[in-house]
Amino acid sequence: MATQQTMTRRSFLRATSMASVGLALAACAPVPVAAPAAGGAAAAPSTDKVQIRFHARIGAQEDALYDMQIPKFMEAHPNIEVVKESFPGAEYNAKISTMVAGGTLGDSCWSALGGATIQFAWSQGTITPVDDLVASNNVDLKQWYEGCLKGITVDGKLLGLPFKSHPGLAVIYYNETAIEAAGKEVPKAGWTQEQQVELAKALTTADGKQFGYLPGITNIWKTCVTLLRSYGEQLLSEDATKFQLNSEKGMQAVTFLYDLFQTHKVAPKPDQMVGADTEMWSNGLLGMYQGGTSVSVFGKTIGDKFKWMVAPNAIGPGGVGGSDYEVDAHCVTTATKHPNEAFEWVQFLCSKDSGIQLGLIGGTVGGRPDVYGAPELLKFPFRVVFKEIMDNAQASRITANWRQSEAEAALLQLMQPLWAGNEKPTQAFVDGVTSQIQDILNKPKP
Amino acid sequence: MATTEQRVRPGINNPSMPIGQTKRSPFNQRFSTFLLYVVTIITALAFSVPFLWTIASSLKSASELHVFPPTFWPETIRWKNYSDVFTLVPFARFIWNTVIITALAMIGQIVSAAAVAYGFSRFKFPGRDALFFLVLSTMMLPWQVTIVPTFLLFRYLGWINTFWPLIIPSYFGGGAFYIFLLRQFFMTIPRDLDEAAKLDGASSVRIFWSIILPLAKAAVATVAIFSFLQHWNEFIGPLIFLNSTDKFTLSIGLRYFLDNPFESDEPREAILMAASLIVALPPLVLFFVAQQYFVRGIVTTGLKG
Amino acid sequence: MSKSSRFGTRIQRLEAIEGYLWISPWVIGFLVFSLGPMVASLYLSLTKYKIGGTPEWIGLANYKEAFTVDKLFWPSLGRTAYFSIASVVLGVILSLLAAMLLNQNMKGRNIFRALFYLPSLTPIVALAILWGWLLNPKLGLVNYLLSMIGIQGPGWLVDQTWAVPSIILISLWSSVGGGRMIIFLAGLQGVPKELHEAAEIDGANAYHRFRHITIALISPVILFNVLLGIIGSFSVFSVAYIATSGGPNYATWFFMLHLYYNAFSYFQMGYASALAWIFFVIICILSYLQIKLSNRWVYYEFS
Repeated sequence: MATQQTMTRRSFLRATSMASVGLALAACAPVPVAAPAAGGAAAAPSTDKVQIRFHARIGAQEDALYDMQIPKFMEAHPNIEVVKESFPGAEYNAKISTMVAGGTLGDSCWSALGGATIQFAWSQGTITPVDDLVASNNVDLKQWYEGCLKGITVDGKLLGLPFKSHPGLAVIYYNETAIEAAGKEVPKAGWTQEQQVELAKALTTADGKQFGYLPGITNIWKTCVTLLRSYGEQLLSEDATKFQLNSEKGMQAVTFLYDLFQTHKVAPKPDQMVGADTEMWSNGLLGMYQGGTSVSVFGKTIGDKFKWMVAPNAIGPGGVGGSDYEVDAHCVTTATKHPNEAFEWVQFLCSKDSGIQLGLIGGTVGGRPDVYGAPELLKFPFRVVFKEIMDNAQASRITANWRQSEAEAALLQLMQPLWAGNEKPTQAFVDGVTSQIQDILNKPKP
Repeated sequence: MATTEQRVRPGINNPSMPIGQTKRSPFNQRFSTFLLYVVTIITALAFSVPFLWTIASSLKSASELHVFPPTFWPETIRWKNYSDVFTLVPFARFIWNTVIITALAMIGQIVSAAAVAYGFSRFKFPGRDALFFLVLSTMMLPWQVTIVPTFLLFRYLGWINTFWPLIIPSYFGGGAFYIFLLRQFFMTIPRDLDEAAKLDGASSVRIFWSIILPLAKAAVATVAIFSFLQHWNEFIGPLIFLNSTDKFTLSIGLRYFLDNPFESDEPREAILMAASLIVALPPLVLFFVAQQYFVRGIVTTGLKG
Repeated sequence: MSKSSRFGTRIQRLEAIEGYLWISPWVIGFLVFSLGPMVASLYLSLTKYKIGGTPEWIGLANYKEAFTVDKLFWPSLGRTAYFSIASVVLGVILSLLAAMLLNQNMKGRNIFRALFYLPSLTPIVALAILWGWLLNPKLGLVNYLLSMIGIQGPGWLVDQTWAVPSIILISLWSSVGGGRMIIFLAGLQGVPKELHEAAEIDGANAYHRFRHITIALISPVILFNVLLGIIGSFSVFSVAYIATSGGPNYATWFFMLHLYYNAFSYFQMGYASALAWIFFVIICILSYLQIKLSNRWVYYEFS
């Protein structure tokens, strides 16, 4: 009797625990994205008002723009309510990924060519092509730079609209005050790498407080893209499957970088850095600094500490300075039930007005000729140079298997011994680096 | 060796001898006291100088943050960094959210972890050691790979973008860490005590409540401090389970200051330091409150009555 | 007869049932919140899975890749072990010493405890930036102090050799006076002063009293701190993630960093899950060994 009682209790316990475990397990099963969105907060049962949840990275400039544009947009479109959900940039991918897996994704989201983010979003099923929306809304694609549109066209499909764009690591920021003090001429478009090295030497002070030139080694992949182009070579082969750093011209480019640190000693070695590279630039410790257009935002920090201006990359043996289109995009998600309204909002963010506002806030502007050429922005002399570089920017190239961020992360690590002087740019060393990157490029598409 | 302790321990209970009193010569005693202070002060300095650096930096302006060579104390103090923390991002809102989550989760964690630890430390049942190892093992699988399934689970429960995923699990076992910690402490409490109470007919609830918990005050205070700090600083959970800015917590709020400068001369890193100090203040206050429980020990007062 | 041999006596059965009741909150929590994600990640480790896609069964291929193909796997595990051993050994010893120091009767003890404790309250993002300043090779306070005694300091976080020691230093600063020390302090409260005094009367010297009374009585707490230290230090992530991003030249590319990048930057959640389970097994073995070994030195009132 007593035994039977325990048995039933036991079997009851077993049954309930099995059931709860089963439930918990079932809930944890990963679902492909195609499953209809369970709707999180999106399931607001509003009768006439459509709610658009849009995802972005947390960022001072971009958030300032969103907060400025959302009320404007909602005033123009009283039937749409836009809700911003922004997340820390470093964890943006992780956050979006879990929302994709959980089916709680919103209606539109930020994405970018950098790190093949947009390619991944596409392969992950986060975003949907906008070709049909472009056609049905009669959107004139000529508004944006063609190179920008190409950058976010994957598998023949346009995956969003260009939000902001810049010509890669194609800008040399220079400290005009320091150059005047050294009695030198400021760089002009068309200057050569020899001239750049000479100027860098003149700007490097003996007391070690000012360095002549810091190339963009914190983003070494992009630095190599532009630098190899200036030598008339490509970092990635035409079909983007082969890594060509150890080519003859690639070797020259790597040696050029190495010499800046170790031979001419005009660039601060890692243990000579007294802060982040942008901090060194904005504190007047660098004569020249290679960056994207976003570095101009530090003009505010510089204030009247010194005069600064920009020039295009110095021209190398290949006859160009090197550049490539960098695009951030806003996209419509696969999860949205209101693609038209979401696309309306995307268009608003990629409009001329938003592009110019971005520029007035500071930093990188919209990826449109009418923004780069807008009189409001050309008032700033450095933006005149930006426009020139952007109008001539070279096409971007992303690794064919989309493992861009893996390859970039690896290259960043592998090249670091060069700047520290732990390695020399020998053929063997560069071959070793190249083969490790090639291993990543040989992996299948995710 | 263990037998030695057992021989010595229960018999020795001499309340007439004040704690800390020793029988060395006065000079020796004064010298060792002096040495004690010197060592303590030097160590305290090593610990607090970087922290003082944080305080000093939190008051610097953009131009003083990266001067060469660096200065410790700012020439002009920029108090505005502290008000900037609240005006640049909805920091007050983040504080409020974090307070709610931390308070609710902490209560659940202390109560349930203590109960479970009591079960593991005072009862014999089949599979106990295996189950306890299972408790430990839940600490060992990295969150990086369980976060997606966990997210799916909470979505299934309809808890996404609510505080529940950050609070409810605390009430069920309250985290392996705390169970383990309390179990270790409960095991240092002499078993004769609850055996005696049991003979007097006390129920296990009563033993738990009136013998174990009072004797483990120091441990419970410790758990309170940890639990508070854990929820106060938690980053990944809030990031993954919350979507709306008005529900975000402090640790996400701090990330806002890692970005580019907001306005002309705002010293981003100084504001980050100011925000960090604001974040560190409540746990520090709690520490002072909880400290009194460390001072009087658990076994120092008479045990067997 | 058979009943009592299988389920024990009635009293034993009652005790068992009561025990299960006491641990039931955890059991429920485990079944509902932990087991599902654990099993799911185990399953995913046997698949090719990118978030958003359908998991594709590939058997043990992920594990094979980790052990044979992935060039970063063994090095990242090795430097994690290096970090772990150094930070656990140093951390536990220093925390115990700090706790014993602050357990002495002295004026301002509460203030001292707070000063020791302060560093552990520094949020991790601030920690990374703060130590970036302090360890800056040219401008940092640390090298400045070293130069005052005639030592040319290394490049710390930007130096391949010194990067891991730097992270150890940062983690010690932020943890020695933190949780571990408090646990020791609480543990030391459980050591009756009378025991020491009695032993002193018996003629035991300070070392013997420390070794045979203090250490013996707080040995469960030491075990706790060592175990937790190993789990925590093997999971080293945040500081390296924010301060060095794994560099220079992979010097701080710890196992957990490798796992994180694979999961969320390279979108190889299946592979990351395999890494996690390898990690899980390693930690389980280490913990099991610790607990087994602990029977020799941990002294419980209990038995």
